[in-house]
Amino acid sequence: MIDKNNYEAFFLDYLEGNLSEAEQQALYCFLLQYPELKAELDDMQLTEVEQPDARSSKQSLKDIPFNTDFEDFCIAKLENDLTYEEAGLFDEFLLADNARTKAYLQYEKTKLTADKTVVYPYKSELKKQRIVLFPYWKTAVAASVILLMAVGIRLFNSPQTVNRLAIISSLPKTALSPIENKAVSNSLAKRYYPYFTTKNQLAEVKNNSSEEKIKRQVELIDPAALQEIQSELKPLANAPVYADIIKERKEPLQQTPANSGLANIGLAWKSSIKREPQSLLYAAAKAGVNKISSIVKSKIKTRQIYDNQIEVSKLDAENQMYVYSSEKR
Amino acid sequence: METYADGIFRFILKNLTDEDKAHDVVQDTFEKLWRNRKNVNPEKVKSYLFTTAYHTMIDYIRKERRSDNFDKVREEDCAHSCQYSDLREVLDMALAQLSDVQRSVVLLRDYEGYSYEEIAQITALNESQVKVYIYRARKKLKAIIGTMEAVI
Repeated sequence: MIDKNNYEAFFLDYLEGNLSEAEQQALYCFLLQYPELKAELDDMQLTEVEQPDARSSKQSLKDIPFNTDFEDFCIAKLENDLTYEEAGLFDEFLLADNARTKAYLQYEKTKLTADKTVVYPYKSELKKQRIVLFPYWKTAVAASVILLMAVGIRLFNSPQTVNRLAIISSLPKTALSPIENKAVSNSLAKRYYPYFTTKNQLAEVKNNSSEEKIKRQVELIDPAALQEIQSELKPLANAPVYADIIKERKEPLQQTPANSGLANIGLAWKSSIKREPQSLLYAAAKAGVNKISSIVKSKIKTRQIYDNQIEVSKLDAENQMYVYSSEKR
Repeated sequence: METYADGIFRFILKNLTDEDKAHDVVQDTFEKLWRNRKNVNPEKVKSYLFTTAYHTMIDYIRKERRSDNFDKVREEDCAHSCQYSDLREVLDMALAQLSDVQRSVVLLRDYEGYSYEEIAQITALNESQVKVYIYRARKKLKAIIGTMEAVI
């Protein structure tokens, strides 16, 4: 549909004979609506420069409508659209009248010349952009690594983290058995539960084993809570080390069967050699003997012996003056 | 490539009369060239660049006109330029009064020395249209220059 925004294209198509009948009718209606554009249409009529005949005489060249289409010929000369012969004749036509020359010079002023001093100032950016676009993913990876390193260093060197690590490192190093360790950690976790924000964090604290987990644990715990934990753990520093406890327990057990003939045949449990007291009855009996000993004010030596005949252990008082034991004595 | 950047920048700057906008258009143009580098014939890079720059500029002008800023800027530039008597500035002012298509085809013709056929390819017009636009632009420019010289 022809309108004021596209009428020029319609005019051109009309002049070139490319419009259909319906479009021509639309064009005529449009010109009736806007009669001022009729002059523009007439102005757009291209000057058909007649091709000079090679055999043409000077008389036929004079037939070229320089006068009627003077402006178009001026522009054609400016645009180098004239043939060599036409250009020569038009030059003669111009020189014949100063007014014509002056008019042509006015057209020459419309010829634009580029100001070469105006240059694009950001050429380096164009080159840079071409280089950057390709390895974009490499840059992204490098940036991510740098960012992670920066965040890690920032967290590790933060004053709060340093303080917490210092507190932990100052705690007494107490070796506990696995059972004791679990018991302690459970009790601590239960006691300091309010200091952890989520159950997951609490679970992490309970199950910590590696150094990294400990570090995370340190970050999760409030410094005030750490002070309390420190005071709780300090007494444990004086507790016997688990390894020492095991050693103490193992020593008498190893001595017992060493000098026993029964031990050699796998019957160490039947040996009458002194063994580690294990029976509650033995302890009660010994306590009774000790009581008697205190009453009579005389030390009574006791020992546990095994009676093969009745297959029971007995408390034997070596000082037979005061105490008798069982049937044998 | 650097020579093309200068030429495109001058062409766009004359049309938009705004350095920042011209800079954006040149950047966009070279970015598009880089994206389509595999499909561009190396012998026709200059033509590709000017075609892309022209259409990018037209899009820019349309966008600006929608926000009604472009015409105001043009009027201000015109009023400012009227204070000068230098022929180059008079021409700039006259150029600003041409339509976008007329100004573009004249600039491509005079600045870059493109033929009608090449200009037609860049501006997506046919050769006859290009020729008519150039002839009409010359007449307008001559009329404006004559008027201004008479005033001066």
